[in-house]
Amino acid sequence: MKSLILCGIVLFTVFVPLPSFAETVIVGERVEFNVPGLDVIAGEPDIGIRIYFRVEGASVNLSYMEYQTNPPSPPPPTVIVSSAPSAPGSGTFAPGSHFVRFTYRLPRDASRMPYLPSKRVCFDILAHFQDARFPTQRLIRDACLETFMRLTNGGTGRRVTLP
Amino acid sequence: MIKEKIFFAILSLAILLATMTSASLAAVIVGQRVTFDPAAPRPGETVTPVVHFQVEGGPVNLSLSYGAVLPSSGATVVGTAITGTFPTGTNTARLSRFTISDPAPHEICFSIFVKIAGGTGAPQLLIERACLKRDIRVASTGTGERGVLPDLASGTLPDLVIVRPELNTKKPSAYLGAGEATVQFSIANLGGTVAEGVEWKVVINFDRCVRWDYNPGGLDRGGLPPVVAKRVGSIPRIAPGQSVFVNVKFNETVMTYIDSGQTQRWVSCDIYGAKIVVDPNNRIREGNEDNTFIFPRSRTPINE
Repeated sequence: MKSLILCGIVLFTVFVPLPSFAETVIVGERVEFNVPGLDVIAGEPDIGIRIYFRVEGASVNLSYMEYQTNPPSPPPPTVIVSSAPSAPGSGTFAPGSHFVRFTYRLPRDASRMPYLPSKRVCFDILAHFQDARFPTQRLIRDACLETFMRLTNGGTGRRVTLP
Repeated sequence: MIKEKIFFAILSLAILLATMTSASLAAVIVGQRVTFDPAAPRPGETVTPVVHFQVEGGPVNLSLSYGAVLPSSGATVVGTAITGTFPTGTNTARLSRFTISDPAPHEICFSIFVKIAGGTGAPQLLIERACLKRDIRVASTGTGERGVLPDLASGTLPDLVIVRPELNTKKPSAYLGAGEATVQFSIANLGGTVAEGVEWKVVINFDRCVRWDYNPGGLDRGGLPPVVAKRVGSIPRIAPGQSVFVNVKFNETVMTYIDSGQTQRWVSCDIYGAKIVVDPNNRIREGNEDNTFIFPRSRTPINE
C-alpha cells in the first residue's frame, strides 16, 4: 500500500507540472504607415504610424512609447502617452493585442513641398515602462519609408508631320 | 477630241502620281505617352524615359531627344538624342538615361522632341509634360521584437545599472609607447537599497601591440602580448533614483621607448573595448553579469 502511494506521488510529481510563473512579455508585431500622396497634402504634412503589439502574461504599465529615426530627422520625435483602445488615456495594457498611434511630421522644402528628410528613413519603436526598473524595450526595428518618383502624367501627345 | 481625252487622262494620271509621291515622302509621327524604366525610381537612381508613338508613312529614320525641366529651379536638362528607323504603326523608343538627383526635386517634367535623323530642320515637340513627382512609400514594415520583462518579485533585476558609458582614446606621442584611454560612465540606483562602498572595476585591453626596432640593418617588427589594465574603485552610497559619475583614466606604458644609439624602439597598440563591472553586493564579479557592460570592440588605433 505504501509503495502504491509512493508510486502515485512520484507519478504525480513527474506528470503534473506545478503551476509555473507566467512571465510578462511584450511583443512588437507590426507597423502600419498611413502615407498620403504628397501632392494632396493640404494641411500639416503628417504621416500616421500605427504600432501593433501584444502583451502576454500580466498587464504592463507603459509610461510612454516613442520612435527614433535613422538617420535622425530634423523634427523631434513625437512622444505620445499610450492610446490603446482597451485602455484609452491610461498606460495600463492588459494581456492581448493593442495598438498606439503616432504622427510623423514631414518638413517642407524651399518650395513649401513636404519631403522625407532622407531618401530612406527608418523607425525604431521603443516602449518605456512606468517602473523604472524595467529597461526600455524595443518593439519594432527598422520600419522604413523611402522617397521615390511617381509618374503622375504620361504627357500630352502631338501629331507631327515631318518633311 | 480623242487626243484631248488622252491628254487629260495622262495629265490626271501624272497629278495622281505626283500626289502619291509627295504623300509617301512626308511621315506623320503621333506622340502617345512617356513611361519610365524603372517605373518608380528613387533618388540617385538612373531612369530611362520610354517614348510611345505611332508612325504613319514609315519606315522613317528619326532622331528623338528630350528636355527635362525641374520646375522648382527652372533648370532644364537636355537628353542626348537617339536615332533609329521606325516602321509604320506603334513604336517605342528608349531615350538616353537620366539620373534623379539626391535629394530629389519635387517634380521633373519631360518633353519629347522629334526630327528626321540627319535632317536640318529643328526638332518638333512630340509629347509635352510627362511628369514624375516626388512621393513617399513604405519600404519595410519593420521587424517585431519580443521583450520578457524581469520578474521583480524574484529579485533578479539589478538595483544598479551602468548609464552612458563612453570610451575615449587619445593618440599618444609616437615615442612613448603608451596608450591613453578614458572611460566615463554613471552608476544609477534604480530604487533598491545599496550599501556604501559599492565597488566598480574597469578592465581595458591594450591589444594587438606591435614593436618596431629600427636598427642600422633595417626594421625589425614583431608582435607583443596584449596588456590588460584594470582599475578598481568604490562609490559612496547612492540614494534611490540617484546616480554617480565615474571617470577612469588609463595611461598604460606598454613598453618604454628605447634609444640605445644603435636601436630605436617604439610600440603601438589598439585599444579594445572596456568592461565595466559594478557589484551591488560589494563584491567584484568577473562574469558577464546583468550589471556588466562591455563596450563594442572599438578598434580605436593609437600611435599609428
